Amino acid sequence: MISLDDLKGVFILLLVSIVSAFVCNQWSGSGIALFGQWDKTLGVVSPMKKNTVVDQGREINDLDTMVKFLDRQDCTVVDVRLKERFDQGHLPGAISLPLARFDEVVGEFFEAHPPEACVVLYCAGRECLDSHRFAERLVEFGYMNVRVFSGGFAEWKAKGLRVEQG
Amino acid sequence: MLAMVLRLMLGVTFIVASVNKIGEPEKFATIIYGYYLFPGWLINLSAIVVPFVELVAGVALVAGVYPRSALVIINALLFVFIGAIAINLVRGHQFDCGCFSLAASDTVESAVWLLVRDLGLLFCGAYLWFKSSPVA
Repeated sequence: MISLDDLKGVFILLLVSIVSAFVCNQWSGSGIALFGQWDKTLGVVSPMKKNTVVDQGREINDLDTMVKFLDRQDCTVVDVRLKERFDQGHLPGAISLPLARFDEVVGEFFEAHPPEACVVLYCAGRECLDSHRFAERLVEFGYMNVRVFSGGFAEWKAKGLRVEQG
Repeated sequence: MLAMVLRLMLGVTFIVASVNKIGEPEKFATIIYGYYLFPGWLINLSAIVVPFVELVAGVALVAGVYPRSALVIINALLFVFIGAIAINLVRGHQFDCGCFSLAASDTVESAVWLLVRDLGLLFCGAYLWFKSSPVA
C-alpha cells in the first residue's frame, strides 16, 4: 500500500522535477516553447525551439496556391530531399538541392538565382523541417522571397497530381 | 544485497536515460509526437518535464531519498512507456522510442526489445516496492 509519507515524497520529487525542468528549459539554449505546433492542418509540425527556423508566414498550405506558384515562370521550385528521393519522383519542374549538400550546391544556385528571386522549397511533408531549415539558410544569404510548400511531396503525390521522375 | 544492486541499477538506468532527453528536448518532443498517442498541447510539456522526473526519481532512488516515492514514480513511468510501446506495436506503427539515445531506432524488432526491457525494469521496480517497508 502507498502510505501518506510515500505520497508526500512523490509530491516533493515531482515538485523538484517540474521546477527544475521549467527553469532549465527557460535558461538553456536548446530549450523549446511550452507548446509546439503539432497540428498538420496548420502547416509543418514543429516543437518550436527557441530561435526556431519555422516561420509559418513562409508556408504555402494549400495545393491550389502551390499549383499557381508552379505555373509562374519567375519562381524556382526546389526539392531539398535526398537526390535518390528526388529521382524517384518530384514536383514538375523542380530542381534538386538536398539540404545535406547545401554548402556544395549553393554556389551554383546563387549564380543562377539573384536574391530577389522567388524560391519555393519543399521536402517530404508536414513532418519534415528540412525545407524550413533550407529557407532559413537562404534568408541568411539575403534571399527575400522564399516560401515553403508545407505539404511537400507526400501531399502532392497523394492528390494524384503529375509527378516527374529522374 | 540483491535489492541494493537492483535499486542502483534501476536508478542509474533512469539517470542515464534522462541525460540525452534533457540536452535535446526538441528531438524528444518530436519522438513523443511520433507515437501519435498524445494531444498536441501535452507534447512539449512532456518533453520538458518527463526527463527531469526521470532524473530526480533516479537520483532519489540511488541516494535513498524518498526511495519508495521514487519507486512509485519510476513504476508509473514504466507503465506509461510500456503502454505506449505496446499500443504502437499492436497498431503496427513504427516509431523511435527515444528511451536512451535520441538516434532513430524505429524497427519492430527494436520496439519488441524495448518492451521486453521495460517489462524487466518494471519487474525490478515491483520487486523493490514489495521488498521495501513503508517509512514508520
